[in-house]
This record gives sequence, structure tokens and C-alpha cells, in this order.
Amino acid sequence: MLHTELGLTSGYLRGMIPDWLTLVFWVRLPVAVARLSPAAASVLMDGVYLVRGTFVGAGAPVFTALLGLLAGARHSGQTFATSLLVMGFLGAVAMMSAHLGLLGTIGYVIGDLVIRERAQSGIQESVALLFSYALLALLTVYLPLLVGTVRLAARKAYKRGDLPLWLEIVAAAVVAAIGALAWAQALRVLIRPAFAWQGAQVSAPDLVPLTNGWPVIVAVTAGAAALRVWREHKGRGGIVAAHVKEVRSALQQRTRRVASADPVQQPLAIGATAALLTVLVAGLIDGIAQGVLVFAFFAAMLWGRARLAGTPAPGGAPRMSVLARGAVAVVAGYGLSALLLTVPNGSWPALAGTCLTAALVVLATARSSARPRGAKAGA
Amino acid sequence: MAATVVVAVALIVAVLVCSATLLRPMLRGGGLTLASGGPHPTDDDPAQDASAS
Repeated sequence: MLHTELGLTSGYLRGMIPDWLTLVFWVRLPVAVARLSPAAASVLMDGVYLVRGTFVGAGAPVFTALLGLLAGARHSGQTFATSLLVMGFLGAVAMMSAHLGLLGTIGYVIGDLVIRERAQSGIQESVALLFSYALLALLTVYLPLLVGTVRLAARKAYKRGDLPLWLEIVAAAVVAAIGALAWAQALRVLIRPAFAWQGAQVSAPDLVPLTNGWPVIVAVTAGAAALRVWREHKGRGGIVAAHVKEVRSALQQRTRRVASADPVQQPLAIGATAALLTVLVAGLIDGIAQGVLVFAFFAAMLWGRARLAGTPAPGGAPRMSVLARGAVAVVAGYGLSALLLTVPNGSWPALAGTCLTAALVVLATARSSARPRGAKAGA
Repeated sequence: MAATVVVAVALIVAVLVCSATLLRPMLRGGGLTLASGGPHPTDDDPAQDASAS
């Protein structure tokens, strides 16, 4: 009965693996979580195309969590960044499904904290570990959602009917590659506090998986993103069609309530976000004075974005898409950073380059692409 | 430190700041994930259906 309800096409292993596990992982859990957080529910629904039978539907989450557990329990070194295998495996799995990426990460965390008995460390060490897990989640949970968003945008932007499969594959692979490249490059700096707060020094061999192995991370991530698009198109046809309306309705009800309010417009939200961003770039910060300055800069940047958000560009300004403006800002930021880094002044040039480039991108993309009222088309 | 690393860190900061706006399409009805297993994202949007036909 449940097979019919789910629209499952594959009959092998029917009855051997609990059907309810498939339903729990891909329908019941997202619906329950949607009441608390639509974002978390979206993560849990990501990858539902994989459910082509009870074996994959129930098996993939369990196996991914177990492999993550094994990776966490068996890896050597202070953090995941010392293992190319862990980063490559979790990156590839995440691109197939953010849900599986989350489960792999949770498995890794449990393996690292419990089986390796690192939970018994001091508070500072625990904070360092939590910080490293958050950095890992950027690759395993956040990046798949970002790739999905770009695919949606590409489908909407394509005016000549349905977006061709090859174009969607290329778009997904390129965005995944850029995201994985940025993550791997940034991690060389961002991961430093995770070592320092555990009382360990970062040595060059610790970062070899990142400095030498980043092409592997980029390649497997982009490859998995491309494979996913192909698999999704191949599997189109209503695998869990009976429950799509139920899950979508649960998500939409909650989303409507939160969509009207931008979460980073209130002073308290701006302060909290600026504080989190300051902690994120702690690897670049040398001393409390720099920390306070970075916090103030990020708070001002967020305030500026909140002021600009949703307002159309001035009438006389050249009309550019948000993506084009972001790309121009990144190129300008790169040039500015290269110039600043020629100045030998401790950690200041890198910090200034990071803050200014981030501000350029954030503020350049804040305004909407909409034409102001009264402006003529083609002006 | 290379400018590439600096820009990569800045890009991550910027993308996180823009999260609310960037990920909004994915949060609307489950976005791509639901669409891929069932109807197209715009299939249940009468306005878009009308304009497409």
C-alpha cells in the first residue's frame, strides 16, 4: 500500500527494508520541521529525486550517516580539513542532496565528538570543534541549496521555453565549482581558529589537503552537481508525487509568515549577524582592536544593505543584473586586495581587502534590478 | 596571503549576508527539490501558465 502511496517504482527488497523509514526521512520529517523552520525543511526535502525505491529512500540516509560517523571516528588530525577524503566524500554526497550532506555531517560530528571522545575536552576546545563543524556545513548544506537556487533562477531567466538539460548541467557544475573553490581557498584562513582554540598550531602539512588537494574537492563537487541534474531529469515523473502537495503546503504556510520580514533589518539582528561574521573571519583577525573594528564595519555594511534593499537603481544609472553587478564587484575587490597585499603591514592588508571586497559585493547587489517608476524601457 | 584567498573569504561573507534574498526561491514550496520529483516550479502558477500559453 505504501508503495502505491509513494509512487515507488522499484519492487526489489520490498518488505525487507522498512518502508516507513523512507516516508519518515523524505516526507514526515520535512513536514514536521516545516512548522519550525522552512529553511531546515527545504534542506530535508533536497534530494527527494533519489527515492526511486525503498532501498535508496531508506538506505541512502542511513549509509551516509554511518559513513560520516566512520569518517569522524577514524580521521586523524585536529579538524576535517586535514583529510581530503572526508572533504571530497562529504562534498560529493552533499551535491547529490543537502539532506544527505546534513546527515553525513551529523554522522561526522557524532563520530568525532563521541567515538573519538573529543566531547570531554574543555569548553574552548568544544567551541573550536563546533566552529569547524559550521565551516564544514557551509560545503555540505549551504552550497547545495545555493546551486539549487541558481538552477531555479536559470530556468526562470531562460526565455525560449524549457531550459535545455545541458545548459542546466553546466550552470549547476559551474556554480558548484566556484562555490567549492571559494570554500577550499577561504578555509585555509578560516579554519585557523579551530586549531588555535584547541591549543594547536596550524602547520603547513596540516593544510596540504587544502593547498594541494583543492582541485579534487572542486572536481568531485562539480561532477556530483552535474550528475544530480542528469539524474533528476531522468527520474522526473512523480516519485513522491502523492506527498508533494502536502510538503509544499507545509512549507508555503510557514514561508509566507517569514518572507515579509528581512531578518537582517532590525538593529538586534544586524548586531547578531555582524558578530557571527566577525567570528567567521576570526582567522584573519589579530587582536581585540581589529575584532571590534571588523564588527563595526560589518554592522555598518549590513545597515547599508538594509537601507538599499528593494530600492530600484537611480534612473540615470546603467541597468545591470544583480549577477553582473556582483561579478564586477568581485573583480574590483580582487584588484583592490592585490594592491593592498603589496603593503607589508601585518594582518591589516588581508583584513582590509576582505572587508572592502565583501562590502563591495554586498552593497552592489543590494538594490533590485527593477526599473524605477516612470522610467522608459530601453532608456 | 594571496588575493585569491582574500576574495574567497569576502565572497563567503557576502553570500552569507545575502542568504535571505538568495535562498528565498528555494524556500518557496521546497523549490527545485519538489519540482524535480513532480511538477515544474511554475506548473502550479496560473499566472505564469496563462502567459506561457
